[in-house]
Amino acid sequence: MSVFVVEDARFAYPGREASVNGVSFTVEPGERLALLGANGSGKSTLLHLLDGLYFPQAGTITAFGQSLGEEAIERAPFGPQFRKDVGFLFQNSDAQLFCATVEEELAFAPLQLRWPMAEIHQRIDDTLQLLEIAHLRDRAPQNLSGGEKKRVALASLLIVHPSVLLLDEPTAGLDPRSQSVLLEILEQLHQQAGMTLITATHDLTVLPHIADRALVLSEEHRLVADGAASTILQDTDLLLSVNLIHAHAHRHGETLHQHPHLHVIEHDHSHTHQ
Amino acid sequence: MSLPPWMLDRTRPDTSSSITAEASVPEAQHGRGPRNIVRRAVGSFAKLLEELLANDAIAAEPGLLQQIDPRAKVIGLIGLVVVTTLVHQLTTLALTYGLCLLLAALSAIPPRRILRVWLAIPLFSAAIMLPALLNIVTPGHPVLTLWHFAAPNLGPWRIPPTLTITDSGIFVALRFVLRAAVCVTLALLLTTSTRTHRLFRGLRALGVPMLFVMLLSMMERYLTVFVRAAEEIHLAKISRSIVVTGISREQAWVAAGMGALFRRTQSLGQAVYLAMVSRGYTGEIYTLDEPRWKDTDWAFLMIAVGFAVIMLIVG
Repeated sequence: MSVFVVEDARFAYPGREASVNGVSFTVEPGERLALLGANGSGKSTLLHLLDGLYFPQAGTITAFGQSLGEEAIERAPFGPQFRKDVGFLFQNSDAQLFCATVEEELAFAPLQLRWPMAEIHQRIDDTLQLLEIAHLRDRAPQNLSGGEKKRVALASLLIVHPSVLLLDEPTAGLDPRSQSVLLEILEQLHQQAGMTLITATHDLTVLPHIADRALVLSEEHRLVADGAASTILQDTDLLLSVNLIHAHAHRHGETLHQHPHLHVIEHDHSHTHQ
Repeated sequence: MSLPPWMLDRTRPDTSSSITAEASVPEAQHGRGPRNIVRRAVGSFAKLLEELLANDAIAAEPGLLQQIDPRAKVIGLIGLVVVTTLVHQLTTLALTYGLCLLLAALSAIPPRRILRVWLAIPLFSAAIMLPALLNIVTPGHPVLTLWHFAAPNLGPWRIPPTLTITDSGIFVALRFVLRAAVCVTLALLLTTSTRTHRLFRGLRALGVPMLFVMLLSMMERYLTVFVRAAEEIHLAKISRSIVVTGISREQAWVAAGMGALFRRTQSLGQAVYLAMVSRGYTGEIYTLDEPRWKDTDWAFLMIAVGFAVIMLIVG
């Protein structure tokens, strides 16, 4: 059974033009998928739709074989089961970490699921250890660094063992070490736990680490490509057209050269002597 | 891309603009004035944040009060505050204040934190207590005569021939000041020895509803975020302020800044709600089970109750 089936979904914020415009795709269990697009292309909105936080005004989304509508998600057992199965890592960790301490943050979802206290405490211990943040247990989220906040936010999702993770620009604003630690954790979750990962990003340098398949959204909020991440990365014309790379000129001595600018792509470019 | 001609001018300093020496004083160097109200307000908030962080550091010390469960502390110390307001004897109040100092010392609370209440109390109590010293409010034996009235009758009203400070007035004033000092110090002991979120959870022991406790907790959580945002907006404004502008422009800027902050509040509030829904929130609030009371918590509460009873008996 597919994790998500999105068919011709359209969504517009009140009084604005469509943020997601007639998008269709399917996500299978265990896939690593990236939603690529420039700023404002509708990646985050699409993640909100997949998490059942917003609902399409036209078209349909089904999750685990059931329609993901406003009524369906409020109804048990589908609603609570969906919330347990799908975790959403928000781009802004300050929005995601709303409890007074890291421990309470981790306890939030299991408490909503009315798990026994002993199990909740055990899961908190295990998850804190897994993400190597046990020393932060009593700390207030506002006093953590960006990398620590991201790990706590991820821990708050992993504690209920979701089968799908939606990640909104997970590496944005992280220093290189925090970024590398986070990518390593995501890699493990996919390889060892078989989690489905859907990541929205415009950072092509992390793409090979987070996705095998990529969907590309244009600045007109439409899906313009769906294929293997490695193939998408080589398609410089496509990436230029959706503003994910840009034409770049610089000098080496007397030589001015111009080429699409992205360091993860091997590419040919011409030099002009001026 | 080609730069406009004015940007190619490398003359420094740039003399093309109309900046005058008087107008170009950076705002950050201004002394007093209405313009600096915002800077002082933002500075005060930042100082408040520092104090909250400092409080958390003290609350993490291995002191006596820090070992006590917040619920026991909330009941015990707030109970003592209530009893203090019923006590009349100066010696009882002085002894209670002594107990506060002892608790502060055993809890590694810096003495200057505790003694700082004496900077605030005279200021607030003076307005109330100065009239109480006088015979026109508190009759008693005169201790010091301040004024003789030549004509003690004011129309139909008869006023005393002298204005004096009375012994009863001094007693009332001293009692008020001591009471205020004890109450404020007890509150200070509670807030500095307890992490804020534990303090809020401790309020549940007094029957405060969970929803209210959660709102308080989230308010404290996001206060820091918005104070930092306000500080950033203000610093960004200072860094781009080249000349001194009029008060009306400043007021317009403050209003715009408040608007920007409000929009951020609204958008973050919505994001927080969505994050809660995403993790299964349906309107019901559940919390981790509270830890059981230890023997030391019961002992603390018993001692506090015992002391309160003695205070009430002695009066």
